[in-house]
Amino acid sequence: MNKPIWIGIDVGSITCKVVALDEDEQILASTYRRTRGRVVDAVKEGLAAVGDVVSNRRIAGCATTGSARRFVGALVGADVVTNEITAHARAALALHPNARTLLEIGGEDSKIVLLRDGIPTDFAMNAVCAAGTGAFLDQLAGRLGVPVETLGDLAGMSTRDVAIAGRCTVFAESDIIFKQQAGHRIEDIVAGACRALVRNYLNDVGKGKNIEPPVLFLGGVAANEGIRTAFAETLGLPVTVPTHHHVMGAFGAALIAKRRGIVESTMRTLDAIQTSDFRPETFVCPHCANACEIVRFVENGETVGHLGGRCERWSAKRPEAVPAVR
Amino acid sequence: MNHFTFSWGTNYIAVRGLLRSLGHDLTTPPRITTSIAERGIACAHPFLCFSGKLVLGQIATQLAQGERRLAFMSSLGPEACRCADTSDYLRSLFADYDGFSPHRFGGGNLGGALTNLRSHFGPHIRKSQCFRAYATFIGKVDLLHKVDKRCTRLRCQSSAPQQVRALEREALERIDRAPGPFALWRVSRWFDRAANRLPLRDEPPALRIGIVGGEHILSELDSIMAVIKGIAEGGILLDWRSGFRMLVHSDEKRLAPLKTKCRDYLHEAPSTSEIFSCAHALDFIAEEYDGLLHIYAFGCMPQTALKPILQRIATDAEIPLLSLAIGDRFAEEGLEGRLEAFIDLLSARKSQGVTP
Repeated sequence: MNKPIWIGIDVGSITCKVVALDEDEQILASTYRRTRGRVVDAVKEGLAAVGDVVSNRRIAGCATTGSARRFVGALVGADVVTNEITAHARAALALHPNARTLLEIGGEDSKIVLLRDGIPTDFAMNAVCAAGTGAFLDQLAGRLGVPVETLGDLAGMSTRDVAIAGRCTVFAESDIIFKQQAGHRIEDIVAGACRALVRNYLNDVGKGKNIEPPVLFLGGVAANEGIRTAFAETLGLPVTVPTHHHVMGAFGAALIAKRRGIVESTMRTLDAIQTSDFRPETFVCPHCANACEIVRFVENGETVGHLGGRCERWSAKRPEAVPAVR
Repeated sequence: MNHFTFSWGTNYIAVRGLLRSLGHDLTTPPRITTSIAERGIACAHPFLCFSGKLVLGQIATQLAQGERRLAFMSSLGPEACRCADTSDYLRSLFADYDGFSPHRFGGGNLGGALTNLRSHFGPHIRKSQCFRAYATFIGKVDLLHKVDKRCTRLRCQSSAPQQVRALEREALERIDRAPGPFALWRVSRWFDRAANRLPLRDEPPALRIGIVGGEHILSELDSIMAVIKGIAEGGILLDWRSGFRMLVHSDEKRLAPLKTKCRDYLHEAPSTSEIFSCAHALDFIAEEYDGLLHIYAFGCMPQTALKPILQRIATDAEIPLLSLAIGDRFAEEGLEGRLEAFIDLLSARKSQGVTP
């Protein structure tokens, strides 16, 4: 009998992460890639990359998380669909059981989770602004004409403090233009922007939170040494970036699937997912004045499920109304 | 004479009751849809609170349909936000519509209410008419609140949530049809009997969450409360004591004991909205609820000011608090994710014996 694995998939606004976990809760394979607006393709590519490594294993369970968790859950036939805060907390506690604060910065979301005695006790997410998120860094890199992956190294070469307005990405860009015109070095501007992002994060999601060590920094942005350094300096605390910081959501989802004790997984085979022409379509429900936008999942020319709406008519949670996506 | 209004949940039913008592009527406001919300966002100043934008969207839509006589009732007591008296603002905003006539009913006491009604309908309005109109209005507001609150609890407690939804629909229709206080009393008795007959679940609620926050956004039945009520049907008790009812029971006499209750946290001339939210949060803590959910419209100044105060209350009581600013009623994905995470957090605490 092939050994079992558990798959975790985390699809956010910018990136898609896939993790395969073994019986000892060790990561056998993982991928991290940008979705570039093509979620289905990104998930297929991610699963294919992981599948190459674990092709001789049996999939015993699958969980999805991230803002596209329900859609991706329908695509792959996930056993569990969970929120990203719970997934990140689960992953962090598995690797660092004594962790007390999680800082996580994603593409358009940022979050803080406080952990006490091995359970999450408080959390906050950004509300209506993406200034303290990876979107800020993407815009910064675009403005400076450098790859976003190089921002951390650039910040590390800074020799002089440059103050950048961090309350809004638009105002920050204006400020960066001014600093460039004033002759500041790009390295100093990048370091200033990293501090601005951290300031924004702590004044928004971190406001009023009792940040205690050990502090873990998760998410793709944690690869940026400039941000990690800015957090450590501002908080006056050591900030640890775990090995798998960029795939922690997917890792946590896989852990949740494994610990759920699934007897028989509903996940489709990797081949079936790869050959599927599964695609979303949207329409406006005509049944009341709410005019809800409904996502219809189509495969092989047939409707196989729905998502969305404010009433139970199209709810995927009600199997009598919607055929199960298999 | 026909009037139109905007809706904060079902409050239009009470406003219609007031107008019908005076021989007039009220058009049912349109349900808030994407296009109405976008219309409100387009015509409002960007910094107006999100509830205000929804209101403006409803007004603009009905003005475009030919309605002109706006009747509205936001609060009878002291209020900190512009929702309390927006007639001048509305006149300026919609000056292009000939004949647009906004009128806010209110007055604080019977004398003030009579003066207010006469200014709108003419000097022929008698004191007894005024008394009956306001008795009907307040009776409907109270009964709407009772139905809303009881049905939300029943969604969690009953094993037949479809029957709860049907009961709520019928109750709203009966309240709307009731011509005066005596008829409302009969509707109230019918509702109690019908609610008591509903089948209940065997097990107690898995969690109890107290909701505090902006009365106007909490009254929005079709947006956030739809998400909340869906969670309640999953067996989690969600309870809120704010609502439109509070705003019509906000005279100084009623506020005094609440202010006393909140004296450790609210010191300098707090608004009605802050007093109610703070007092209710303290009540939930005293009743050993598992968590507090603070919901408010983005841009609502009283509730924004209250956010750090609630955080301090939650820290002192060691109770989890989630604050949600609703800035776009259609961003439900983020809302649901946060609520799911909050419920996971409360469940984990409870399973490990951590209590507030």
